[in-house]
Amino acid sequence: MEYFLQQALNALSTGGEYALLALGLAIVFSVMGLVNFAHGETITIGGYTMYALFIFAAPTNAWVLLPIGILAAVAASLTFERVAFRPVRNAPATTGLLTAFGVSIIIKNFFVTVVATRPKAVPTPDWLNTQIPLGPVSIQTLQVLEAVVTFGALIILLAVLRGTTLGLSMRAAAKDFNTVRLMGIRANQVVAAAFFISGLLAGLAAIFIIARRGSVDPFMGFIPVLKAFVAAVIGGFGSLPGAVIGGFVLGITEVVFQVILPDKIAGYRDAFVFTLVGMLLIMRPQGIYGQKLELGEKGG
Amino acid sequence: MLVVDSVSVNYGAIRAVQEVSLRVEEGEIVALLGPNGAGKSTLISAIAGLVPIVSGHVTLGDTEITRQTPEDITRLGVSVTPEGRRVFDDLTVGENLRLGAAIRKDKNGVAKDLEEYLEMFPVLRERYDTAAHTLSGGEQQQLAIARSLMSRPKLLMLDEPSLGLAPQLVQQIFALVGTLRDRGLTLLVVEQNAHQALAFSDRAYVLNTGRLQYSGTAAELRESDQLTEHYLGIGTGPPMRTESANGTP
Repeated sequence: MEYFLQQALNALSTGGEYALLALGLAIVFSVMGLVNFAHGETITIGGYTMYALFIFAAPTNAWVLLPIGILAAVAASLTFERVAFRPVRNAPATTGLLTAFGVSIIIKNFFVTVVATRPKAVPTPDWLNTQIPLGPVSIQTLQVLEAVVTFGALIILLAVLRGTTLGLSMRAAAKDFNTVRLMGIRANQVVAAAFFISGLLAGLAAIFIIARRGSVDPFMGFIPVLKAFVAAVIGGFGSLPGAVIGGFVLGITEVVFQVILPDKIAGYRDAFVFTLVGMLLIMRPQGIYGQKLELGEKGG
Repeated sequence: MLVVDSVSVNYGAIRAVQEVSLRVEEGEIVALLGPNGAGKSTLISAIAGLVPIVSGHVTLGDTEITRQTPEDITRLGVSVTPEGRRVFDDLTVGENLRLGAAIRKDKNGVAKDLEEYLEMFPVLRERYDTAAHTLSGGEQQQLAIARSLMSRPKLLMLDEPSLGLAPQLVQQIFALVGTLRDRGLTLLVVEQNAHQALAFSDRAYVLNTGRLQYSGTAAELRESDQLTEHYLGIGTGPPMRTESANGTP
């Protein structure tokens, strides 16, 4: 029973992290149809900024330093949009995808060249890894924070998407960007807003990823973006609620396989997870929450 | 108010609009007619800034808008109700209307206009909090028009407002066009349904295969049976259209 509870908590926090990551991909995809594989590098930049801050401004309170790291991720995300993605916005989807890979390669190699290929330890604050006894189980502050932050981010995001004109524009642009522009709403503003939110989510995710690993390295963004991609596909690419659900489904599935697989084949966990994902997609190609695409439209 | 001067537009690799010139004066209702594929919607999209203009000029009042973005053209007072209505499916009726007024800063004015259009289109008040995709075609058309009006345009371009609507609804929409003009709006209306359109417009232009074939007052066009048959392809449309055509003097 205790074991079960403990694993349920693990599943929830892993799911939360994936949801956060998938949401960052989904928001950009929904608005501009771009699968931003450079999202991982936004996390990396946030991570290295936090690393630098913890090294050079160590005595300062983490509550001051972490937001700066998040801001760095936001700045990176906005810069990618302005410099790399805006010029190819109207190009075919493949061009955007290749641009994202390009950005990703450049950033990785920047850190390889300027810092080091090897991981750098980040002295994460102790309070992130404290175990809180909770009846028969104990829970890490990190896990609590992860769940709280994911749900908090989700609630705030939903409030923005439902309550503000910019949010409404983003939801509308997900379906029909041209008509949004016909309302006089600036396309650049809507796209920048999507990258802003995406960067914010990447920055938050960076904190949790670093806290778990205790280090940064130039390739740290790859696995997260891969998980985010899978989670978003499970949920239905482009759907925001889908991204969250996909994140939790992936996280929970991973933990379940971790638990039920015998030690001998535990190393094949991801193979089992992805087989299940594959089966899901065969039955429901549009994902859990996705809508079938309608292809073709009449032009005058 | 709007001057289109020998404008050419491509649709994909095809020259869809070939050196078309037209003008719409303040307070007028001008119909843009022609068979399917004549380039009417392409021309509207080009005026709105959604499709690049290959050559020629478009001016709105004293401002050249030929290469402006759709955002800026809307902000200058041109609103489009696009073909196929294009309401924001996942958003509620209220949210659609709110986006229509996105560029306006006068909150009180927006609230006042909203109240007015909900009065004008009672069904929108009824369905205010429901997602737009649950509306019928006619309701969506009303929503699309109301959404366009929320930006308080000087010029409203309606692209095929009657498409796919039942005859009574078509009458209703066209009656609305007259009401809007009486309130000082200028309208450019694209229609395949020529007889209906000529009944309420002041002047008309006829496009065929991307070229301007005819222009004149609506009265002139109505009287010229041969012209309408020849250029507007009346009689080839669905029965609904033929019937209504017969009913029009």
